[in-house]
Amino acid sequence: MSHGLGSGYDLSAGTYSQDGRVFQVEYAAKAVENSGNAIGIRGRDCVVLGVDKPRVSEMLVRAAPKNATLSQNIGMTSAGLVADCRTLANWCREECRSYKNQYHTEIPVRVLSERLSLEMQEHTTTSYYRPYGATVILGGFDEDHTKPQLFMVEPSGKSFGYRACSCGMNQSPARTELEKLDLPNLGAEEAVMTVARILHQIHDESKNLAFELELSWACAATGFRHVPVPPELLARAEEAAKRFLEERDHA
Amino acid sequence: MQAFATPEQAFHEALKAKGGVDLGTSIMACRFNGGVVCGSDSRTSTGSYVANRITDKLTQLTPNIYVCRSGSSADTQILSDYVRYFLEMHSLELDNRCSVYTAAHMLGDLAYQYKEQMQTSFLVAGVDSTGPHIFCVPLGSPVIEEPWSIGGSGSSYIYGHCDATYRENMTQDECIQFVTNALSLAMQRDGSSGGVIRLAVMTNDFKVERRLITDPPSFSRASTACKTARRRLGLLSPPALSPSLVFLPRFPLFVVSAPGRAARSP
Repeated sequence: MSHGLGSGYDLSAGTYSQDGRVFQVEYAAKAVENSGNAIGIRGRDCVVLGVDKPRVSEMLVRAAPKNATLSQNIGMTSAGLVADCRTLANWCREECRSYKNQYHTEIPVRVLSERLSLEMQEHTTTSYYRPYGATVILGGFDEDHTKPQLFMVEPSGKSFGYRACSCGMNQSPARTELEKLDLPNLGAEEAVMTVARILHQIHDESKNLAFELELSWACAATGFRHVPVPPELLARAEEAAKRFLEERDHA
Repeated sequence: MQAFATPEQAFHEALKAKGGVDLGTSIMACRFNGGVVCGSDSRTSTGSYVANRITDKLTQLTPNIYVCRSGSSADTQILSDYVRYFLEMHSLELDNRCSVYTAAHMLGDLAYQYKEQMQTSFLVAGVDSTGPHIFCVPLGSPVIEEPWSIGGSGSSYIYGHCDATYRENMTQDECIQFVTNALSLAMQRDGSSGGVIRLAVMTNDFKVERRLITDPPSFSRASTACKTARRRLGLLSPPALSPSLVFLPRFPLFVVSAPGRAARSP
């Protein structure tokens, strides 16, 4: 056991520290802050999810996909431990399926986010679980297709609805950029361009890590389904983002 | 007297002999331009014995959804109780009204799961955010949406009437009249339907009104004669009479005597 106040209280999620914190949960949040960035925005009639995937090896052909489709109209992106993210994606898929099997309607995004947050919160209460080291952004449409939905669930089990949200290493600069947007009037393609720009903009140049961009969306053009952004549009968005950065550097 | 190994076996043998407690029934649901009406007769029979003459076969699943039950009385009661419980949890999670489609499918799934043990047939009617809906969930548990639907043993007598009479976009009053007439016709021809007509009217503003029609309209001559006789016996309320006739005495059906009086009389 080490020294100092609170030491020795971080060995299990089932133990409070003397000032009422659960250190295991805070460590899980740290795990998210050490990973790449994920962004979700809710535009006028669209949801766009974006994530940057660090190129971990020069020999890697292509990074594995990180955005997941959970049910027809709902997608997710995430930051944190990659294996935890995948486990949660599969958990959500299972939940969507069982909901549909039981009620014969698609699960509303809010209900999915609440159920996911219960699952994640449960992993913060007992000593035989480790909290999930992942923050999940859920985005998509409910069955009536009326309004885009966006929710973020954190390792502690906190879940809120957002107009735009970010998580990962540079979540604060990303949030600063997101706050500048006129979200209620943002069209689908414009939103894709914006997400690509922000992910490039917040990328830490000094670390000089190559990264790959992955974008997915749900909007009227996709029939409200969650699908990857078409390669042609993705290329265009990346090009525009790089041009924006060059212009900024010149100025 | 036959000996039974257990009381359960005795009960099942008795039920088998009587044919179980059935809702030999006439039920109906119909959509109109601002909601949906569902109705039923009120007879529950055990073979030829009327076990209950004022049964309520319309069960409220949620504030905006009703189910009309037919088949085995116990089976349909237990299934609709379960579904009511499930739907309450569901609408709490949704924080909204649940859809009629969900309710119908939930009944259908349960009925299918227990199809070997249960005899159920439902009409699910209600109003949700997408408007009024009627789903028919008959014996094999398909779920079928229909603008109007009839069920129970009495329904076979009135298919022709309903086909000929139903119109789209009826008003509420027209729809109530349609359902009342159709059920009356079924109740007069079907031996295991009868009693009063119970109605539930659900409108697009999520209001529900229950009605009880104790004096269903009669159509055939035979039933008119029967009704006149019953009215004379004081079983039915009198028809609208002119004021001069209103105060005429009506014959009581039974003369109830105080206990002991008969013994004292010579």
